[in-house]
Formats: sequence, structure tokens, C-alpha cells
Amino acid sequence: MNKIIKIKELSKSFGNKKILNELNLEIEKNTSMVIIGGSGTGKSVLIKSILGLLKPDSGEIYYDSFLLNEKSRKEINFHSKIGMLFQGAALFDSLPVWENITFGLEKLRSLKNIDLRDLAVDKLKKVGLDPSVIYLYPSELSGGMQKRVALARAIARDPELLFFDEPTTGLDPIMADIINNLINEVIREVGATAITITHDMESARKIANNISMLYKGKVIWTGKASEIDNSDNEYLDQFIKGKSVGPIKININD
Amino acid sequence: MLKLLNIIPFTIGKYILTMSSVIGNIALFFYDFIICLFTPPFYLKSLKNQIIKIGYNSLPVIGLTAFFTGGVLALQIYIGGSRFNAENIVASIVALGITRELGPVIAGLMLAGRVSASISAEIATMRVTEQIDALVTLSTNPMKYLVVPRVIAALISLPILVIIADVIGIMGGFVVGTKSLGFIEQSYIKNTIDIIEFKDVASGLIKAAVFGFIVAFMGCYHGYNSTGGAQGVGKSTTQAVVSASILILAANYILTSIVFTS
Repeated sequence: MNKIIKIKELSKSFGNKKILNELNLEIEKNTSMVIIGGSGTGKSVLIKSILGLLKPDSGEIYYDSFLLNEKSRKEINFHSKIGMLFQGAALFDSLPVWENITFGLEKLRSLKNIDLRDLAVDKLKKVGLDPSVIYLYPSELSGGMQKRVALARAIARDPELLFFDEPTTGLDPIMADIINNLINEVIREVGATAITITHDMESARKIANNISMLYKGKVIWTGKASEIDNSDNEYLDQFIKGKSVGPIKININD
Repeated sequence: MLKLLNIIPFTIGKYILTMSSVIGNIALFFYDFIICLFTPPFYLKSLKNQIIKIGYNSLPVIGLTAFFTGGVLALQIYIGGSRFNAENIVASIVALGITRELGPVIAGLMLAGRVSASISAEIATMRVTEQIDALVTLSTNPMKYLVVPRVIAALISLPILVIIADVIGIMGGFVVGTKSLGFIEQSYIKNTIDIIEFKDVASGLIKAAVFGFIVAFMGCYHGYNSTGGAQGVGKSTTQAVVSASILILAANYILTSIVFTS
């Protein structure tokens, strides 16, 4: 299979604390990879390292055949090929919804304001929102609507790679399911590779083709989403069943 | 006792290390700023918005403080001057005091309170809500999009504000001088015009540009490097206002000594 992201021996520490410890991971093209793991296992640091928001201490990240670093990200215009859905939506609260969705696109495709608004309406329809919200500001939207607008912004560039950071956290179960369905639809429609980090197992089962589990800065299990229930991995078993007893020790003082 | 003696060098060392790292970080931030200043894309729309926000919206605050400062200056000089029969110098000293010192310094300090705080709080909130990360993922350099327009807007706005503050400050002195101290209007204006030289106003405007830079740069620096949620936003806002105010007063002394003693 064609690998779109390859991560080799990635390490990152904050002070004395090792967050990623020589982590290796490969992600197949046009699949949905979900990375699960408890809080503080390095999921966010991993995704931020791929995006170039954090500089890893050592190790390599490849996108197709390109080694990603500060310079090459600019050269291949990496950020125009990706979309990212942040945990708290991270919408720009000084801009109305349509400018949020089309942010930066006028430079990328030299579009006029009127085309940009059309594009925003088009993307809003894809995430199931009424076009009438385009002139509202993010603070006037509910949490679920903000997530949808953020999703519309993430797909506005027709990205090859989509990142989702805890897409269902902070939403009620029904809205969480709607977001899961939207993610599935969007992945299918855009034809993108999706990388999701979550600790919501229901969400993971729903949107994943493949699942990797992180523990103490390493990938301890990778496999098909259908295989997680009979993996014979006691760490994974404990996590997906949500038991407090098992090999994973949670250090409360951490 | 020995333990206590150990604490002293430890504390001093820790303090020096923190100071050095802060200065180093500010220098790196400045270096990054200079590079972004001269490389496209330039966000002119954002610059225009910031000039309105930083410059135009500061007019009432600057005008009011300048008016009362000019007024109180006239009053004090009159009272002080009357002790050795030198009441007539009120107009001259108000004019020089406002254009050389009080205009730029008062405007700078007011802007430190008004603008440093708001820039820092805004950028810090963007940092903690991941909006700055979002900018990066949308192929936008936050330094170019957020920092450069704000600093340039303040650099352009403050000299203009100071010209206005000079005029209103002198007018404050004029109102107090003629309405309550009994000066004749024509002679007050003549004294003012006679004393002011180009250098007095120009030095004030150079100061204003430097203060404008300090105000916005400190706000951006502290906001950009904010950590730790809501508490962090509060902390960075305080630090921005305090450091901008201190730097303005320090820079004022240095600039005065360069311009007027050489």
C-alpha cells in the first residue's frame, strides 16, 4: 500500500518529561487512521509535530517522499494540502463565518469576495449548516455549530490530508454522532486521508479504517479497526473497555 | 545559617538566568519581526484596521489627558513662578514642556495602558484557544498577519496622536492661563509661538515613534508567548503594560539625553 505519512524514531521532550519516545508510525493513503490513547500519552504532540506547530527533538517525518521540516513545508506548500479541525474549533472570533471558512483562499486561488462567499455557502451545505449563518460571528454560534464551521474551514481547500483533534470532545452524544457521520462523509467526498486523535472509542470505531494506540510516547498496537476487540493486547483491551484495573498505570501525580 | 547563605547566590543566579533568557527571547522575536517586515505577503487591510483601532480610537483618551496636563502645568508654573515674580514664563514653559516631554510621554503611557493591554490580551487569547496554530495550518504566518500590522500601525499612529496632544495640551494651558490666571490671549499665543522651535516638536515626534513601537511590540511579544489559560492571559497583559511603561520612561531619558545634550 501507498504510505502518505511515515514517521521514524520521533522523539520530543518538555523539560525532563519525555512525551514522544522514538515513535514509529505509517499511515496509508486514502484511509482513516485513528490514534487512540489516554491523556498525556503524546497524541496532540504527535499531530502538532506533523503539522509543524512543534519542532521534534529528533526523528523524521515523511510526507509522500518529502522529508518534512520548516523549509520543505514551505517549498511544497504543505499547509495548502491539509485541513485541521482543532479541539476547540479555533475559529477566528474577529471574522464572520464566511471569512473564517475562506481564510487565506483569496491568495491561494485569487478569488474575489463574491466567489469566496459562494464557496463558503457550498462548504456550509456540506457540513449541514444553513447558508444564512455566513454573516454571523463565531461567538454567536453554539458549540456544535462552531465545530461544523471549523470542519467546513478544514475542507475548504480540498485537502489531501485531514487532521481531527478530539472531534467529539465537549459535544452531546447526538451532536457527537452527527460530527462522526459528517467526518465519514467528508472523507469519502473529498477523498482525503484522515488522521484523528481521540479517546472516544465510540467515535474511533465509527470513523476508523485503522487504529493505532499510543502509550508512553510509543505506538504499542496498530491494526484494522475491526481487529481491536480480539487483539490479545492487554493494554488495548483495558483502554477500549475503560477499566481502571490493568497494565496501564495512571500516575495521578503526573 | 549556612543554608541561608546558600540561598542568596542561588536566588541571584536564578534571577540573572531568567533575565538573560527573556532578553534573548525578545531579541529573537525582534529578529523574526524584522524579517517578516520586509517579506511579502503584506496585510494592508489589517494595517488599516489597526490604525483605526490604535490611532483613531485613542483620540478621546489622548485629547482629554493632554488637555488636563496642559492645564495643570500652567497652574503649577504660575504658582511656582509667582514666588520669584516670574509668572510671565507660563506660556513658554507650557509650550516646551508639552512638546518636548509631556506630550509624547503622556500619550505613550496612555497607549501602553490602552493598546498594549488590548493587543496582549487579544493575541494571548488567540494563543490559548489555538487560533494562532490555526493560522499556521491555513498557510498564514502569524508574525506577518498579527504582529507586523499592529507594530507598524502604532509606529505611524503615535506621532500623529502626539501632534494632536501637543496642540490640545497647549490649548489646555491657554484656557487655564487666560480664563483663570488673567493672561491676555494675544500675548499668550505670541509667547507660545515665539518660544517653540522645530527641534522641540521634532524630538517629541521621534520619541513618539519609538514609544509607539515599544507599546505594540511589548503587547505582541507578551501575548504571543502567553501560556497557561485564562491566568496566563491575565499575566501576559500585566507584563505587557508594565514592561511597556518602564521601557517608555527609560527610552525617554535616553532619547532626551541624545537629542538635547549633543
